[in-house]
Amino acid sequence: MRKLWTSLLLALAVAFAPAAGAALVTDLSDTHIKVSYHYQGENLLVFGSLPEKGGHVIVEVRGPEKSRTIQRKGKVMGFLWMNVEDLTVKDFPGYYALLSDAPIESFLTPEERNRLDVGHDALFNSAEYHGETAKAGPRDYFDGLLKYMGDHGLYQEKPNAVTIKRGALFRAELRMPSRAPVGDYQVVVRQWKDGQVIHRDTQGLSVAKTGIEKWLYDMAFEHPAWYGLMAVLVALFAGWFVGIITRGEAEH
Amino acid sequence: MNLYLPVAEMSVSIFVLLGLGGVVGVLSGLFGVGGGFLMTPLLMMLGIPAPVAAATDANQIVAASISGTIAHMRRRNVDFKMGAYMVVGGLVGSKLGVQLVGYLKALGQIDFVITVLFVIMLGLIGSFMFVEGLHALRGSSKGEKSSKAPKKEPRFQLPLRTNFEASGLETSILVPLGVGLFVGVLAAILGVGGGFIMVPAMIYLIGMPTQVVVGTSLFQILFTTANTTFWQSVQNHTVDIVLALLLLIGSVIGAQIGTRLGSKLQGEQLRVLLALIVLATAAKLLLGLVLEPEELFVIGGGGH
Repeated sequence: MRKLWTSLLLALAVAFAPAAGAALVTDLSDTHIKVSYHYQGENLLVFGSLPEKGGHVIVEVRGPEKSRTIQRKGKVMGFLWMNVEDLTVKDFPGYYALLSDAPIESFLTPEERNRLDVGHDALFNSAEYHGETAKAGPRDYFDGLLKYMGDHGLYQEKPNAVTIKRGALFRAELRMPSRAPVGDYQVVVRQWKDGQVIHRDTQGLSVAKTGIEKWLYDMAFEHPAWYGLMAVLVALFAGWFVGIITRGEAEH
Repeated sequence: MNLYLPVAEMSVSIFVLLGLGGVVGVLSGLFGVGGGFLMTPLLMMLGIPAPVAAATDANQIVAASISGTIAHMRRRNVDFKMGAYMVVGGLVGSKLGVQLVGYLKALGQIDFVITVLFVIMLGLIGSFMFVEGLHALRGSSKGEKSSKAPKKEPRFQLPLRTNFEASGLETSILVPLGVGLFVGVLAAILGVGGGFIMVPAMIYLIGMPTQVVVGTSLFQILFTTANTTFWQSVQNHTVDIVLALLLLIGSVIGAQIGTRLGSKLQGEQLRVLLALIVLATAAKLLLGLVLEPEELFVIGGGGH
């Protein structure tokens, strides 16, 4: 719904403000990423044309939000490392990429980053935390979460990944790892100049399982009893079948 | 070549999985052990979440035990009465185990518990096999083994005694029920068949004749792992059919190689080798528990 309003407003803005000239137009190399049995992640290209020269381009990709529980390991009984405390971050994007043509710290103040809600500090400030933690603060847990996501390619901040050609065309390449969660993504491109966003465009992106992957996943989570029964029957049949083959071989 | 696993939700090399199944299969072909107790820890080392590794392994064991069970039934090597009590215990135990997995998962302690249990179990099995193997290598006399001869008369008598004709013995039904229950809980939490516990228990604790021990234990394993697979799917959504099938293919090929290798190689040396593999796996898991982890913060229990 919000997307509809945004595009409506955008259309109105374009129609009634000819002075603003052409709008920022962006596109993606793929808007429906399909996770099939051979899926190994995908390289995604974000590109478009800039209506005005100058300034900076920020490309932000946000994956579907969900609550994440972060466990902190601690020493127990003097020698065992186990999870001792946890903190839950509410509605945190399962994938986040921030690409720009220069380090965002170099042209955005912390306040501006907070206002736009881009970058790790802003993400930390806007997130909601639940849980009692004694020894480590929310920021430690948050950094742990970003480190984990970063290690799996689910969090990327690339300060020089956006290239601008002749001040009119931009392109940025980003990696969607195979672990990127399924769901709806939002790709927001902003052109920043003279302390404000002068142009903004939003594109939707979906990551969805397809074919047998989708069928099995849906079965496993939506019809678990049937899935369980199927798992048992498939195993029984496969085992019985294999038994016949190998016994046949053994007789030769 | 990579394959995306639908429930584990990750992309893993087919050859690595086939190889893993193959290695465990070779071991089971060589030694006649199920190999589940190595499969789950190896899957965990590959980065498969511990609960998915255990539940999927239980699924794989269903496939791995059906042919053997049928063969033993045909040869009348199954004590159905004893087996039935053990199955009842196993069904209750595996349901309880699945419940426990769900509870521990919510607490964020499932990986820890699975790892600790494996360290204890593999440590004990490995040490026992190592000592046994060394004794055999030194060619110690058979007289030593007779000290472990089946005890026909238990020191204390449990109620509900009944006669098991196929095994030719009388014992309390609580014994097979209890053994089945214990193995069922283990099957659900660790994804092991539990033959390595059940077989000695049947020989030394119940005193069953050896010719029905393997068949009856396989019979119990088949039902218990099937029940585990079903309830893990329903309650924890941790069974990955694609992963289970790949492991099965690998282990079947491996078992064929293992059986052929076994007839050419020296048994005692192999037994020591298997003991060392088991101990090394235990040591690797133990190090993960006692060394300061690289990541102090871990993300668990996502999806809720």
